[in-house]
Order: sequence, then C-alpha cells, then structure tokens
Amino acid sequence: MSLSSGFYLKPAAKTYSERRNMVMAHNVLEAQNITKDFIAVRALNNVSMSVKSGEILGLIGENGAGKSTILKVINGIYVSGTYEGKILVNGEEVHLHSPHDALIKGIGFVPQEINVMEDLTVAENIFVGHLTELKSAFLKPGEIEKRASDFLKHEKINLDVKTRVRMLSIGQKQLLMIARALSWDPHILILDEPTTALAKDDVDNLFKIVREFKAGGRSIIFVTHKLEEIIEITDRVVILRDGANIATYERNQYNENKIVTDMVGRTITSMYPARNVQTGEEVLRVENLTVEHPKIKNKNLIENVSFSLKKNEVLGLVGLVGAGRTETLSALFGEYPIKSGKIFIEGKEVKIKNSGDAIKNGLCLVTEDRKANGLLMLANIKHNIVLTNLKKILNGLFINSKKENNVATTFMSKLSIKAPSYDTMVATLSGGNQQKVVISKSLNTDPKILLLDEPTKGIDVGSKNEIYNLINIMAGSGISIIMVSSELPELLAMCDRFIILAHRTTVGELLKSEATQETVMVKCFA
Amino acid sequence: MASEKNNTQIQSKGGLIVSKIFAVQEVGILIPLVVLVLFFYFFNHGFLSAPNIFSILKVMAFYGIVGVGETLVILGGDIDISVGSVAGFGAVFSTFLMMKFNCFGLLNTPYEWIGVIGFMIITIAVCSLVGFLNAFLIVDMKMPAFIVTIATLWAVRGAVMVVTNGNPIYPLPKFFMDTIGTNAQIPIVKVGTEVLGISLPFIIFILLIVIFEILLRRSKFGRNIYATGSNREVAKLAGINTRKVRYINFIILSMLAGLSGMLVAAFTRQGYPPIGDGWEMMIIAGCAIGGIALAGGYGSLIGTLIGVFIMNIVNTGLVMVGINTFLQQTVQGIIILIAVYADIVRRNRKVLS
Ligand SMILES: Nc1ncnc2c1ncn2[C@@H]1O[C@H](COP(=O)(O)OP(=O)(O)OP(=O)(O)O)[C@@H](O)[C@H]1O
Ligand SMILES: [Mg+2]
Repeated sequence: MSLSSGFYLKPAAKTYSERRNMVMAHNVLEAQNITKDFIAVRALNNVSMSVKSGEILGLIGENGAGKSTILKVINGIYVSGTYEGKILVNGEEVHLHSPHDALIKGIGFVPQEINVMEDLTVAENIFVGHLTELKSAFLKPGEIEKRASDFLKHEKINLDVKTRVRMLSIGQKQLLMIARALSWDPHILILDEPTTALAKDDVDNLFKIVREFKAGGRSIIFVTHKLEEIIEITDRVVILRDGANIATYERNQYNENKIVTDMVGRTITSMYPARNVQTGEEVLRVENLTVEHPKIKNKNLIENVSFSLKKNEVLGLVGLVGAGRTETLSALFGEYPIKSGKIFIEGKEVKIKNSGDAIKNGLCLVTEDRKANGLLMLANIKHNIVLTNLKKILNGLFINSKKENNVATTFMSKLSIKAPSYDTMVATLSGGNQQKVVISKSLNTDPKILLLDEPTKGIDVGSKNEIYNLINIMAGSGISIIMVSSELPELLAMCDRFIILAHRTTVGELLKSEATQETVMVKCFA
Repeated sequence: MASEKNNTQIQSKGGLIVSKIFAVQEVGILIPLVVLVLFFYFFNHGFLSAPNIFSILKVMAFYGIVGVGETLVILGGDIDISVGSVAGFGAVFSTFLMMKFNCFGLLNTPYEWIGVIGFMIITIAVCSLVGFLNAFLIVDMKMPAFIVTIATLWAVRGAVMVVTNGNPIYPLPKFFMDTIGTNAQIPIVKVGTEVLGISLPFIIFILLIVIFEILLRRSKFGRNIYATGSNREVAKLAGINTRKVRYINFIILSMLAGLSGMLVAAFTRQGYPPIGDGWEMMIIAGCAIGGIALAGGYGSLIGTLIGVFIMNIVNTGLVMVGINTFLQQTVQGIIILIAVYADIVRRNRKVLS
C-alpha cells in the first residue's frame, strides 16, 4: 500500500504490514476499563472496547454518551494518567502522551469538529506534519503539491491541492481531515462522526475509502448517528450510554429496533411523528431574489429565487451541495446585500439589511456550522440561550437573573440538554448538546418564521425524534418553518412542500404527495 | 468556572458571602498581589506607610481610569494602543485652551471654574473624535486594530508636540490645579502638616469600575460587548449591532484617556507634553494580569482593578527597595510574566482536569 512517491514515511506502518500477514484477526487495539472524570461529570465509567484487524467497528450512543471522550483517550488527547484504565496496541500496553504518540503507534484520528488551517492550501494542510521527514531543509517549488496530489489520487480523494482551505465547503474540509489522517498510513483509523457534514456522494466516496482501507487488513472505528450507515458499513457495533458499555453486537445480530432502544434507553415508536396541522395564509413570499457573491465579482450567490411559505407550514429546500440552499437562508436573514428582488412578510414588503432587521421581522436562523457562527464557545449555556433576546429578560436597564435562569431552565428541559447546569461552558458539551443549545437560542426569539439549516446535524436518534416533535409543535403553534437538510428521508417525512434548488436558483416545486426520493432527485438533476 | 458556581450553589447555606467571594475568579489574582505587597514590605517597611499607600492609590487611578476603557475595548475583541498619546493630548490641549482663551476671559476671577470645566468638556469631546477615527478605520475600513492605533499613537503624540513645541504649559488656572487637583480629596490622615486622603482620580476610578462592572454583568450593553468579543459572527446573527458596540467602546476609551491625562496635568500643575508616554503597555499588561482575555470576550473589571494595582505596586515597590534603576524594567518584566503564568496555571486547573 505504500506509495511509490514515498509519501508515507512512518516506519510503524511498514512493520505493521509485515506483522499483519502472520497474525489473523487479533485485537489491534484495546481499551480496558477506562474511567474518565471531568470536574462535574464522569464521562466514562469503566468502558472497555476492542478493535480487531480488518474490522470496521461502529461506535454509537446518544449525545454525551462518551464516544468522543473514549476516542480522545485512545488518541492521546487526554494524556495517559488523566484517566483510569489501560490502552493496548497489538497486545502491548501503551502510554500515550499526545496525538503524535498515537500516530507513531499507527492510530490516525479525525476529530468530530472540523480543524483545518484555513489560510493554507490543501497540500500544505496535508503536509504539515510531514515536513520534518523531507530530505532537504528547503522545499522545491511545487514539490509538496505534486506529492499531495499523487497521494490524493491514490486515495481517490477528489480535492484540488492548490485551493486555499478557506474556500472549501464543510464537506471538503472533512475529506481533507481524513486525507491528513491517511497520510500517516495508520493501521487504525478513527473517524468521529465523519459523515455529519457530507453530502450523499461524499459519503459514498468516504465509504469507498473506508472499505479499501479495511481491505488492506486495517481497522476503523466509526462514529455516527445514522443507523443506516451502521447497517451498511460496520462489522460490529459497540453501544455506549451515559458513559458506560451497554451492548456489543456482531453484524449477524444486528436489529435496528434493538440498537435504537439500547442507545436511547427507551423505545421510539415512530421516528418521524405525524403532524396534523392545516397550513394557513401566506406569511412569506420571495420574488426573484438575487444576491451578489460577497467576494467574487460578477458572480451571484443566488439568482431569481422565488417561493412562498404559508403559516404553519414546514417547507423543505432541496438541492445538491452548492445548489444555494444555505445561501438562500442566509440571504433571507440579511447576511448579504440584496441585489434585486423582493421579500414580503404577511403581505408587506420588507427590507432586510442585516440580522437585526431579520429578527425584528420575526425571522430566525439556526446555522449549519455551530462552531463558526452558532455558539459563544467559552460562554455558558445560559448566556448563549438568552443572547438572542435580551429584551425578554431585562428589568428596565438591567438583566433580571431570575428571568434569565428561568429561560435557560425551560429550554434545557424542553430540549433535554444534557449538562450539569446552565452555568456549564458550552465548549465542554458533547456535539449534539451544543446543537440543542443553538436551537434553543433561536427559539428564544419567539420567531414567526424559523429557518433551519441542517437542524439535526450530529444529533442522536432520540434527540432527532425530539426535534421532529418540536418542529411539529412549533408548526402547530403558528410558526412557519423552512428547513434544509442533507438527509433526504428526514426532509421527505417532515415537510409539507418542497422547493427544488439547482444551480443557485429555484427550479421547481413538489407537494408532499408527489415527493419521493426519485422524483426529488430527478428534479434536482434536471 | 462552571463547577465553581455550582459548588457555591450547593454550599450556599453556610458561608454564603465567603463562598461567593471565592467563587469570583479574580480572587486568584489577589494572591500575587498580596505576595508582592508583603515582599516589598519586607525589604522596606516604608512601603506600607500612609504617604506611600495614598500615593500609590492616586497614581494607579490615572492608569486605572484608562484601564476601564481599555477593558471594554479588549472584551469587545479589539485593542487600542493609542491611549497614552490621547492622554497626553488631553493634558496639553485642555491646558493650552484654558490659557490661550484665559478661561473664557474668566481667569483669576471667582468664575474661573466655568472656563476650566468648559474646556475640559471640549477636550473630552475632541478626544472622543480620536476614538471615533480609530473605530472608523478598524470597524468600517476593516484595518487591523493593532496597526491603526499604533498609527494614531504616533500621529496624536505628534500633534501634542506641535501644539506645545515640546514645552510644558504653565502656570495653570488655580481652580484646575487646586480644586480639581491637590485639594480634591476625602481627607483620611494627617502626617506632619500634610493631610492625606483619597484623591479625586481614585474616586472617579472606583466609580467607573462599579458602574461599568454592573453594566457589563447585568445590562444589555455588557452582554453585547462580551458576545461581540467572543464571536462576532454569532453576535451578529443574534441581531447585535456589533459595529455600534465597537464604536462605543473606542469612543468611551478615548474620552477616558483624555480625562485621565487632564487629571495628571491638574496634579502635576502643568500641561507636560510627555504625559501618557508608555501608558499603553502598563495598561494592557494590567488588563492581561487581571485575567482579561486579550482575544476578547472574557474577563471583568475587578480583574483590571487588581491588574493595574499590581503593575503600580511593582513600579513603586522596585524603586523603594532600591533595585538598580537599570534592572528595574527587567525585574518588572519578569514579575509580569510570573503573575500571568500563575493565573494561567490556576485557571487551567479549573477548566480542564
Ligand atoms: N472538557 C470537558 N469538560 C467537562 N465535561 C466534558 C468535557 N468534554 C466532554 N465532557 C462531557 O462528557 C460527556 C461525554 O461527552 P462526549 O463528547 O464524549 O459525548 P459524545 O458521545 O461524543 O456525544 P456527541 O454524539 O454529541 O458527539 C458529556 O456529558 C460532556 O458534556
Ligand atoms: Mg462526540
């Protein structure tokens, strides 16, 4: 598997391949009785898991179950000694003091949160840890681009090496992180929710990469909240709940209901609850909305987008990646100057120049990328939730802490946010719980029109179900919702009507009765 | 920090006040403060004498008043290096006007105060323009705050030199020197013939700390600043006018810098052109020691108070224990590093585990 260009330079990988031929299907990695405490939480309680060679292990559980935490233990981010228990690689105990230690032992890790160097190119990002391995102290012009592009071609990852990473979509950044991990030629690859940000094509592509990786006798730990992915690709699954082992199933024992019940600790009768709400009058009409690209001249982000939204309606915006779904929502929310076109709310034309105007007009946006523009990471849950509507908790000039605490408590129980208290810093929450804080924040503005961009991204099945219920309750209470999601089944189940976007403009519309995976896809590609 | 607060909630039945005080994260910075005081006292018992204490309190207030504004700017995610020059400008410009126009022709009459106060207000208004200019270049022209304010630091200092030709402005109106300067104090003790007390600048400083600390913690104004500093995108999406927040911060800071410069002029009885020279570093270091995150979004004015206090204690203390003048700056640098490091260690222990 080693690349002829000599891209892989870690000796660990080579000795491993030799050893692989001698020993079949042994435990390449074991975590034994891991217990990990944070100040107010026990994140892991006596958790054990192992990965065999040539195996794809699924690791699943609710938000906050401890998945990322155990992976960080295995990867040396939580340094040996800050937890109890043992880590064994190929049967030998190891003490990892940094992610680099883990890489040397052949463990590659792609974390849940995107972390890339935005201002460097793709090639530079991939190469960044490898520079010391170059023979000469100076780079030949084009050398790393050449090597990186050979490498990407070999891994069948489709990225342009010269692009500045800032320009990439989230999905592409995710692929880049995977490429970066692969560049170390690991024999165990850990992927923490790699598919949350990916479109269907990218997911297929990723699975191809993963299968090939496995075919070389190497192992993968794969975290996801999407059951169909577990079914499709994993050989075995480990289920965690509240920081403890709940069950392990071999592929031939898989049973969807059982898995879900084990994960959430209760049975979910209908994943997509039915909604019995009549849609009312038109609340929003968008006519030929065109906004310019903020950075690129003579290019429009979206062109002539037109649609309408009724009271109590849940409207789905469908389209492929790059079709302009997120851009449409952002434009409605006043993020880009409008070049032409009109927006009417309840029959009156409105001018939305910034998010303040949007909020005043009863709009609210749940953004897709919670780290960049969703949350104040170092602030606590309470301060995040109330931020969007300080008026609600003011007593004259001053904030009334009682009201503030009440708002926070209400949302925390309504959305079952799992945290020691509302004073917990959001950076320490699990990904899914962070997402729930983002949603709380938006609901706190008491919006008329809610714009949901990937609202269930990174959320566990149980909470997804809760969010669907919440969407139904909101629609029932008179809120109109526009929803974007890369999970088509979710959209199909939750929306009353669909607007199809392609090439940054609206190209069609489907009613719920007409919409199926096929009809939608046909329209998207038309 | 989160768990700290939880603990206090749990233990709140017992020593409520005590536990509340210790839950305030700034309390940790008090430790180096106390250590430093004891250290200097050990080498020179005069360090804790009444005259010295009151003099430290007075001098720290000059920095502190500016520190309040600088804290707002830093919390909002920006930085302002130009404050020292603006203070110098305030000192020179106000005194220059007072003398040039003889306090509206009221100089040496019982109504002199009208001219003094009038020109002080005019000066503060002019200083606010510097803040406005800084904000315009940084917020609207999107230039880096660090560079913009270095440029205004030089430009304004140049203006000061042009106005004065480099010469101090004196004599000054009696009202300015006595009523606003030396005599404006709450008398506390009498040492020899001299009455010592809490000076006007210190009173202003403490008032500013109290007012702005309450605003920061409990008002929309404050929450907006924290949000803008922690993540401007998030703040914008929450409907906060981050542009306005940042403009206001810069303007408040420049006004406070001008005010502080004038107070120094009143106390030193002259409009001395180098007033404010080097303040920016003292003040920013004070903020950093006080736990204000230089990246914005985190910290409080109690921290700034303690931080500025530490900076001044070190300044005076080093002189008093008689360390070689050439070594003083080096030692000062080392002490700052130790204080900040101690704070980081302490905080890391709490956030991580
Ligand atoms: N640095 C930290 N400080 C305090 N608590 C933490 C920290 N990191 C994680 N936790 C807590 O540990 C628990 C497990 O978190 P973890 O991130 O492992 O969950 P997860 O299973 O990956 O969830 P998700 O599916 O949402 O990503 C959560 O309750 C979380 O709040
Ligand atoms: Mg996770």
